[in-house]
Amino acid sequence: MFGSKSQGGINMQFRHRGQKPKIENENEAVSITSLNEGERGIVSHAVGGFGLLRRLAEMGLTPGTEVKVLRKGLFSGPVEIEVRGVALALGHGVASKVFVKPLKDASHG
Amino acid sequence: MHGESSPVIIASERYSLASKIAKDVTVIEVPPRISMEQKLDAVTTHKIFGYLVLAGVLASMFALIFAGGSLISASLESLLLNFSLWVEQLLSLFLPQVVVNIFSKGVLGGIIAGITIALPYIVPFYILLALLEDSGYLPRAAFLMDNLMHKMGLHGKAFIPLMLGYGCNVPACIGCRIMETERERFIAAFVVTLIPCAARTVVILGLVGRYVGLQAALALYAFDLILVFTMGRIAFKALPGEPVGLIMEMPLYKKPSIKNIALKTWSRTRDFVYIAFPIIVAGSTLLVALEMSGFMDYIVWGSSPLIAGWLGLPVEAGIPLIFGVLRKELTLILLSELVPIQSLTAVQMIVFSIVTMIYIPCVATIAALNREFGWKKALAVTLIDVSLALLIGGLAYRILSLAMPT
Amino acid sequence: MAKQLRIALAGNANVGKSVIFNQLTGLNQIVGNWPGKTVERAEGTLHFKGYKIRIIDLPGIYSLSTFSMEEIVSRDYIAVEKPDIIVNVIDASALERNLYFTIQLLELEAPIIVDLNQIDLAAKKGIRIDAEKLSKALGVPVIPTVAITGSGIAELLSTVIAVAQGEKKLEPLKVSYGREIEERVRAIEKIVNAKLPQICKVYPARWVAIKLLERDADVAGKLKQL
Repeated sequence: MFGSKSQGGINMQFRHRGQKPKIENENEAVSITSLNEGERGIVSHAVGGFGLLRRLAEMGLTPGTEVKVLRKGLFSGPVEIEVRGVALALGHGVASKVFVKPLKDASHG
Repeated sequence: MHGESSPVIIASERYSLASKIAKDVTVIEVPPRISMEQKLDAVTTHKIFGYLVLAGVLASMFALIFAGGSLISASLESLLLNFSLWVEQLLSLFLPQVVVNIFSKGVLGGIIAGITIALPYIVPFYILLALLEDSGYLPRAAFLMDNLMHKMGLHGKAFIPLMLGYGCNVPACIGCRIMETERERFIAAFVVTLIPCAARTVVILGLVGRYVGLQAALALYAFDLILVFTMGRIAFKALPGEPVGLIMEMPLYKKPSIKNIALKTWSRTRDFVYIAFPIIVAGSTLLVALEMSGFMDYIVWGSSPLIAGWLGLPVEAGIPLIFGVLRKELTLILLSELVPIQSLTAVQMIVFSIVTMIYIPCVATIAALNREFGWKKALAVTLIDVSLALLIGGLAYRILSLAMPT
Repeated sequence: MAKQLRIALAGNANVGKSVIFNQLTGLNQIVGNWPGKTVERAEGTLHFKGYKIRIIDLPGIYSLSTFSMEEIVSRDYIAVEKPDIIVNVIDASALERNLYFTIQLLELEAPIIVDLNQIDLAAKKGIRIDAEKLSKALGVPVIPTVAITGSGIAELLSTVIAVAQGEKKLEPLKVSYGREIEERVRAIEKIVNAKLPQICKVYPARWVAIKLLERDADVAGKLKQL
């Protein structure tokens, strides 16, 4: 759903199976690389040169867009995200420059 | 302006419009279950299985190409050999022997070499490449290899031309077009020329693999990879510009269409023939002319300080090295004709293989480099490759001689 | 003497555009390079309903900005050579992302019809696109196809002919932006119209204005030359 809002306040989420607990604060934007597989976020901004920002925008990564992390590569590898119905692979460097506001997921997996 | 630059806003607004239209016209009919394609996706990009699958795909690809290729090559060879002998006899009837030689060994020989040696490997190669492309597998390979490619200042997509290079450097150089910027294309192409193509593999396996041992041959391949990464890094630092990160669509897996694969293969093979064949024929003719004019002896004599003094090889080994540039697949044959293989020491075999592995890409590759990047860059790559090969060859000779006294 | 048409295939990569091209041209294709550039150029011909149709397969690109040579080559071809019809091949299973490119084609004021391809893949994802509705929204014909089976290709060609003969009219959507952008675009457009009439013969003035706002290096460079 586009434009769904994350819940206000600080939520401590303890996940099973060794995933790290995440503090989800409405105002805190984190880089995509810190999301786990299956987690969603709303694009807040990206840092980088003009060329990079434009390429990202052209592929649909504009502020306010919802993204979902599909897969993360081995050892700081690339991140595969779903954006606007398309699967996109971002190199680790690129992904670390895209910041999202994490969304609390009601469902798992 | 409003916290975001205008290009981003414009892109945003276009996407808002696209999004609105798309929503209006889209009907979700069935809640999607996990499809075959998604399961395949999960396996092929899996942190562990993904790499196993990749290794399997590459191994089977090259096995098929080498097996299929040598089969076709052998059958074509016997067929065309008879034909060329027949032509030679016919022409000898009314043309001077010199001309006949130049034509049948040079021109005809070149064409036949192209047909019997290059094409039987190139065509299956292109078929498998088209299959991998159309099925959607290549972006998965790029995903798995992105990290590694970054060590060279490139990104995941560069893995594809590198992999192609093990088959033939010509399509690999052309394949560098998938990189987005000129700089990256060039770095990738430069590094590709250091990858031993099938013709060079024949030398490495046929010489070192067979007479020194398989482990030694594998060590050479490993060494080559280290060299590739090192030179990639150096090129990356040396050329001005910023590294470009991977931003790549991962399309759904699709059933490839045979017709499409056939058409792609056909047009690529035609492209290859246009680039490579004239060069092979020209090179072949030049070779025969040099041989017959006696010029070759001068060249051998001139190069002997380098060949014998620096590289520690028998003087005659200069011929296959120098003229292998024109007809790479003849390198081993020429060598065995001039120097009894058994008389070479293990060190000499290794040095010879190293030089063959690294030095000038074959003339067809130089032609491809020229088309893609211009003659200056093609020349630069050629010179760097030759210098590198000589340098490493000479060092290898000295170091290995100490480590492995015969 | 057959009537002649020149059409171009334009669209994202991975939408099956080259499959469409192959279906249309078969072996009647020549693959080379754009003059002076290392961008592949595929051209072919086919005969249909008394027409000799020349088809160019433009490179698969995501946008008409100037990040790459492929993009410049495509938009220059569309604007300068002005093919009779541009078939915008889009992927039904990734509609939103593909429409981004369609919108840019509309901004370039190119005569487009839309080929809604890969509807089989969309169906696998549980997605069905209402082609009629899409056609109304965009103002141009939308033909669903499944390129690998050839389904819809004949209808696609018939539509191309119909549009070329004027039987079907194109009423392309006019893309407009939010107020702040529109103000700036119109201001620049006025200046371009007044001071640079030569470029308006090739590219629409409004498009030039938008590109300048997008800090498009190629357009800026072309303007400098005038």
